[in-house]
Amino acid sequence: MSQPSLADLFASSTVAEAFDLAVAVCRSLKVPTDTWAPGDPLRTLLRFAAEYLAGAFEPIARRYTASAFLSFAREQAESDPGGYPWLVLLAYELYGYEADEATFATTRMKLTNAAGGLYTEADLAAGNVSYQHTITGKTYTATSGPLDSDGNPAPLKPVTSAPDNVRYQDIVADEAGSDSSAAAGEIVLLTAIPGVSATNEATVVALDAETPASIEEGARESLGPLSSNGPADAYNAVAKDRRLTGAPGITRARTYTDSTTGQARVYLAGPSGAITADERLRAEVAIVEWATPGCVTPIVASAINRIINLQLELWLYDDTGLTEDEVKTIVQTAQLAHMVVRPIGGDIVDSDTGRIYIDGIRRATSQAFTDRDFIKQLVVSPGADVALTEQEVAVLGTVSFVAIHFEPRKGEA
Amino acid sequence: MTEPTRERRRFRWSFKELLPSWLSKGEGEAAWYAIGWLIDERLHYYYWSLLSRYPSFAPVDAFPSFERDRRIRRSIPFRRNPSSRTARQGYVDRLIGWLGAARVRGGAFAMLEQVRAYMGGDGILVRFVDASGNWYTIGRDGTKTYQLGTGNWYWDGVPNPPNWARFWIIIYPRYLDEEARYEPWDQPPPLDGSLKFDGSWVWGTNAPPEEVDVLRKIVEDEKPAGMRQEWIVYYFFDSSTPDAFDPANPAPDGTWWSWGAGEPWDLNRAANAAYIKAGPIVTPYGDATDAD
Repeated sequence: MSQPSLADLFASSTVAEAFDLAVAVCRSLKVPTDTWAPGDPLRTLLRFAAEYLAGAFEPIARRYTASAFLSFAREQAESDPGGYPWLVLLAYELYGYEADEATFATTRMKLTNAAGGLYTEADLAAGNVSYQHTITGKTYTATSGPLDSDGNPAPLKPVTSAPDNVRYQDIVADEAGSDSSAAAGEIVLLTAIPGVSATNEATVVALDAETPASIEEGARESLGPLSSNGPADAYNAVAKDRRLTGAPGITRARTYTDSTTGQARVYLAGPSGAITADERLRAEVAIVEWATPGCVTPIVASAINRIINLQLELWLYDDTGLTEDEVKTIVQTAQLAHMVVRPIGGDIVDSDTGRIYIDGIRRATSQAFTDRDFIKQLVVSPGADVALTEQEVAVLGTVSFVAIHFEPRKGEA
Repeated sequence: MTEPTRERRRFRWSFKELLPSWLSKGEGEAAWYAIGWLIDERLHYYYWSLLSRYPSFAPVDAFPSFERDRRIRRSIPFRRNPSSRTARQGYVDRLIGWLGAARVRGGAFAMLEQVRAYMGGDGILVRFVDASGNWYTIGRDGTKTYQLGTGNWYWDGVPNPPNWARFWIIIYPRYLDEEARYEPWDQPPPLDGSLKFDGSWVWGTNAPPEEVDVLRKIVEDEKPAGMRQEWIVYYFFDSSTPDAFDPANPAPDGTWWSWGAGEPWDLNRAANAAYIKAGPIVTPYGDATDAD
């Protein structure tokens, strides 16, 4: 057997294909495979071997092969949850790039006792009290007992003991990720405690695990800072490295490098566009220390938001099982995901001005639905590709719909 | 590189040594042969799966991924002929040295190393010169030389200071005496009545546009941020005329921002070269333009 190509190594056989192959080999040896009844020992044996080799070993081999190459590892991670840890492993072990893990939302709840009960530290101990998001239903668990306003343990006293009828309690989300984020006032008690109510006074933010595409990009850019001569990707990598900047909100960076006077223009953005003045300063400090060689002047600035409002018209088949509101949510989510990864200054083709392309907007919508369900769409607005200046970053504005059409499958069984 | 040893036994034959005769004859023989066949086939794939991550043993279609991940561009000879063992080995050696190359990116010699390797390596001479007249050269035999602060580079009259952060790349291709042609790119098709610009070559040389694009990208990737790559000169130097890009006496006289001027047409630049725009042009009038 000759050396297989990389494409062959990824095109692994299924259990059914392996079984068919084994049966074909038996047939070539004149074994009467047509007369096998279900449960036939020989057939069962071949089936077992096929399951074992193609079903159990194959995915591991495929993930292992993919984990040598960033782009293939990213594809695996996007199509197969089991592939994600392999991408994280590759990025960290080979490139030293640490992917962001999903974080657990944490906050301090305010408890108010409006009745006569006395609740000791033991009554409200860590792990004994649960909370819930009023809209999403996500749950949270106490990580402390009741605390006074200085953070010291203290019992929750009756209303007659005001102000000691108000206490605080630290909580953590039971699930990691941004779904457990909450606006102020959205988290309440789930555990019934007579006379006691609770609320979160502050916004609670948790982050999702880093996307495979972002890990791939970050790992490649990590080569930049290896050189002290200041190649362009060194600026990008340092600006996005929260360990160097202390600013995890910077997720996009673009460095324009063609100055004739030794200036490197670095623009920065986060998931929602422009970054804060503090984040910009932190990035500048890190860039000066870790990316800039002598004689070069880094000019570090936040990107400027360019709001892109979308107006769409959409045609789907009527057996998708989706309501109009659900379709709107799906499209909104897909367009947001598309926009937050667009580079600062837009996508640049050749030496043209960077743009947000209508084709990309169309693709984001169509890919949110299965090929079977999706028919077509019309991007009413913007009417043409949107040109950006080098400092602008596209931010999704409103997504509105002229109409969403649900078409019957005419003549189909 | 020696190929790692592997299991040479074939299970579709060796099962008879491992199993009692009552299990390895008759229908059992067929079953175990089929299972052994499956195992042999899978082991073959797993073996190459393990090795595919190592450039020395990777299949050819893995090299574009290596190129992307390690930021080392395949040479023109390897792109044109992926089955060439010499070209492949040269690229494998560069891939293995990827971390060393990454550590010096942004330096003049580092850029020249990558440009020269892309053009084909041995026999190619490459120069880097900046607006201050700092010259770096890798000779046809790989020898590195430099001259600093000559102040003798005067391309287009753009004042220095303040425009000190500009550089040019000059490539002297390999010349094949017997065939009277240059490698990897030869002189342009003859300017006769049959000449048609069909997109398969660029002005000044017969270079395929996609190969020129990769060269531009290498220079872009390898330069430090804050500097502008101005022109890449592909110089058909044959030693019968003075070397227009000799660091001791370069020919540019401040008018080379355009091909020529006057009526009749008076050439500003050396004629026996292709001039490839590497970045936006700064004219003496301060305009940034994409025009030649």
